[in-house]
Amino acid sequence: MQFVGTVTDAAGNTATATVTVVVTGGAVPKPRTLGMRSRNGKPSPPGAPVAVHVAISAIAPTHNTLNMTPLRNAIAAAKATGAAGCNLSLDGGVGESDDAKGFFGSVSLIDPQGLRPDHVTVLFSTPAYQQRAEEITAAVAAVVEPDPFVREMMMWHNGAEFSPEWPIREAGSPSNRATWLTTPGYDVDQDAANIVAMPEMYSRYFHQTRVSTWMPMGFQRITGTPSSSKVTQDYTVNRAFLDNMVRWQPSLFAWALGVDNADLNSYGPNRPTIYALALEYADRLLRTDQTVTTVKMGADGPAAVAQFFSTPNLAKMVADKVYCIEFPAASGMTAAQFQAAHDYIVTNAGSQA
Amino acid sequence: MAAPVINSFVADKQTAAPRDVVTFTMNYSDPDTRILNFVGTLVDGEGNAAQPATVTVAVRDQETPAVQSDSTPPIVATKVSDDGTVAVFRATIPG
Repeated sequence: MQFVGTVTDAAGNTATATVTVVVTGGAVPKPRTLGMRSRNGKPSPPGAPVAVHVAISAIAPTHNTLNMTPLRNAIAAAKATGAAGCNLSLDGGVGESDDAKGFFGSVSLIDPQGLRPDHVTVLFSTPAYQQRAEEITAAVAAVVEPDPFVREMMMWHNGAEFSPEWPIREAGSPSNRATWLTTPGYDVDQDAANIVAMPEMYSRYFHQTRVSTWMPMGFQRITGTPSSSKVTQDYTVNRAFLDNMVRWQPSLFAWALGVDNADLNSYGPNRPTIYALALEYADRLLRTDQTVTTVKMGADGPAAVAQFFSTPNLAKMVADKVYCIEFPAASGMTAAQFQAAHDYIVTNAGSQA
Repeated sequence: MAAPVINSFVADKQTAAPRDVVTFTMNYSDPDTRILNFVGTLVDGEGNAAQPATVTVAVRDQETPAVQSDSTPPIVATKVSDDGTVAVFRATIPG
């Protein structure tokens, strides 16, 4: 796009000059239909899926109870909006109780056309909550619509084999996808417990699930020089950058900007390239009155943060996991939660997830 | 009457995303000037007048700078400041 500057004098004489500004992108991207395939292999129709966001703690206030009322209510509310379908996003969020800690949810998608899942995503964090995830997933399926599609997932999650008719694809690295999906005894728990980093997959996951309620909003590549093997200094994160992420990458596309997986994979104490920050857009944690956001890491920060950044296990940094750094507070981080998860995407046979 | 001259016209961004604010700075001039003489006089109480003193001021033409895009519809930049030689504009890229 060219901008033309003119100067006109009193007699009408004019001088002009131009400057070119390349305008990237377009309208704010809509996350809805990218990569989506319905069960019959056709792209999901345009619609207005509504994200139903229910905290997992509302559904499972304790490890031994399930309360589906909040979920039912949320679904009903979503339907009441007139939307053709809805997403379900169950989010364990930042729960720190024994029951909720470490478990961040189960996501089940409903096809806008017929309230039928066109894929199911189940996310685990720690082994102890895998069963919880299964219970939640089953509960969601029961509320929405009993569907063999979901049951298939449940079978697999329970360690049973999955039907080749409904191949489960793991978003992310295609190179190892087939391997572990077909490996008997694959230890989901152990692998899910590994903290690994894969923002690209994260992006892919969200492209496909259309869930936009709780995800972090931006990564900023920040560098520093740790004084020791631990990252102990604070890093100042450019607020404008994050604000831009919030405004322009409102749901799904942040990861394409500046997140270099090679950096993440090669991270070490001598290569203090880290990425921050993750913000929850839904919670409006990035307030307009903040000019900068300081992320505290290391000794003053949560142990988990220091642990991860100081003792990276490169061997575990494989490219088939979701890794989310979630800093619940934008200024003065007081808690952090690392969420490692698998992303299982079920599509029709042969269709590209 | 000579045309004005834009000595430089720059944007603070070469690449912008929708809703980005782009700031343009235009440095301009006009070779045309009008000469205005200002005469200073001094008269005492008896009516004695000192020799008038004259100072000459060259006054440039009145120029009006503006910035807009070549898009349809055009994006008209808002003038933020203009001191007669340097004008600053801002435009928001539409989403």
